[in-house]
Amino acid sequence: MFCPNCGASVPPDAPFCTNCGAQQPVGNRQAPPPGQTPPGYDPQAYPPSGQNPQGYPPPGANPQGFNPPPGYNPQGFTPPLPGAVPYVPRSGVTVATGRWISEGWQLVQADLATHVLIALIFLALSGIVPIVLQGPLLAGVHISFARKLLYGRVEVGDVFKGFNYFVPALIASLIISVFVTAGFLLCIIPGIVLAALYQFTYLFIVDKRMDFWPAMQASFDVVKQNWFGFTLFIFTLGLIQLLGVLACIVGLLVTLPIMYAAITVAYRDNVGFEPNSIP
Amino acid sequence: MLALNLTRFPERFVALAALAILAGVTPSATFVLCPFRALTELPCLFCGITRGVSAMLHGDWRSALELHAFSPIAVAGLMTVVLNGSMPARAIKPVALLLVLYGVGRLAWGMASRMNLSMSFFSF
Repeated sequence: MFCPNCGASVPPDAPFCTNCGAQQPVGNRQAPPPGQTPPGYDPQAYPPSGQNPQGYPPPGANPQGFNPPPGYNPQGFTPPLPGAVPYVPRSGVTVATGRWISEGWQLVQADLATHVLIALIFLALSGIVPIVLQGPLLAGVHISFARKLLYGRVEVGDVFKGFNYFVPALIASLIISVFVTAGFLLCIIPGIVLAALYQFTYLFIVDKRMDFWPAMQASFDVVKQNWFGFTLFIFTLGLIQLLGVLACIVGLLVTLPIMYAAITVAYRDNVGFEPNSIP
Repeated sequence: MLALNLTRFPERFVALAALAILAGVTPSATFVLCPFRALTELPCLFCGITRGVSAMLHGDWRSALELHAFSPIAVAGLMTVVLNGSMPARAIKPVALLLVLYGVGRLAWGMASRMNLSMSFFSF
C-alpha cells in the first residue's frame, strides 16, 4: 500500500501513514477476524472481570463489543402498526346503482323517522358550526347505516358516534371539500369524479379505523377500478338530491339519508365490514 | 358470431346517449357552464371538450382540435365505454398527465395573450 498523501510505502493495516501521518483509506484497515483481539488491545490495561468501580459492564458480557440497537427484533422485522398497511381492494368491483339505491331506500324507509331526525341534526349542526362538524357528523351518519346493516337497529344517537373519529373525519372532510370544489370549478364533471373517488372515505375511517389519508387512498383504490360506473352512481345520487331540493328543500331530509345509505350498501358489497368494528 | 355483452349497461347507455346528443345538438358557445371560465374568462383544463366532441361528431375535426386538443381522445374514450363498458385503465394515467400539461399550457398562453392585449392597449 502507498500513502495517498505523500506516496510513501505504508504497511497494509496501518491506520496512519508512517511517513507523513495522513489518515489512510478505510479499506486499508482490516477488521480483525472474529474471536481475535484487534491489534493494540491490551487486556492488562483493564481491571479484571468483576472489579469495575466505574460501573462499566464486565468484559466478556458481550463478546461482540456492542449491544443490539433498541427496538431490535431478533425475528428480523417489526410488525407494522395497524392502519399502516395500505388497503388492498378485492379484485372485480361491481357497480349496481339501481340495486344500491333501492336497498338504501328500503333502509331509510324501515326507520324513516330516525333517519329524518339524523338528517335534521346533521343539517342543523353543520349549519350552526360550519366546516368543523361536517366530517364527524358524516362519519356518524355512515355509522347509523352500518349499524342498521350489521345489527338491524339504529338510534338517533348513532350520529354522534362519529365524534369518536373527530380528527380523521374532520381532516378528510376538509381535504375532500377542497378537492371536490376545485374539481367543480374545472367544468363540474371532475368534481363529480372526485366525489365518487372519495365516497367510501368515512366508512374506511369508522370501519377499518384508518387515518384520513389511508382511508382516502383506500376509497380511491376501490373506486378507480370502475370510476366511470361509480361516477354515474354518485351523479344519480346527486340528481336525487336535486329532487329533494326541488321538493321545498325539506325533501333533502329524505334524499340525504338515501344517498349515504346507498353508499354504505355499496361499501358492504365492494369492501365488506370488519367483524366487531362498528360498535 | 355476434356475442352481445350487456354487462355495465348504465355506463354504455350513458356514453352512447352522450355521443348521440352531441352528434345531434351543437352546444352553445355563449352559455358558459364552467365556473372557472365564467369567473376568469379563461379556459380551464377541460373547457372545450364538450363542444370539441360535438364538432368532431359533425366531422369538423379542425375546429374540434382548436376547441380542445383532446376531443378525438374523448370521442375514442366514449366509444370504448360503449363497446367495453369501461375505459382502458392503463391509458388513464398518461392521458391525464398530458391533459394537465396541455391545459396548463393553454391557460398560460391565454393569460399571456391577455396581458399582451392590455399592454398594447396601454401603449396607445
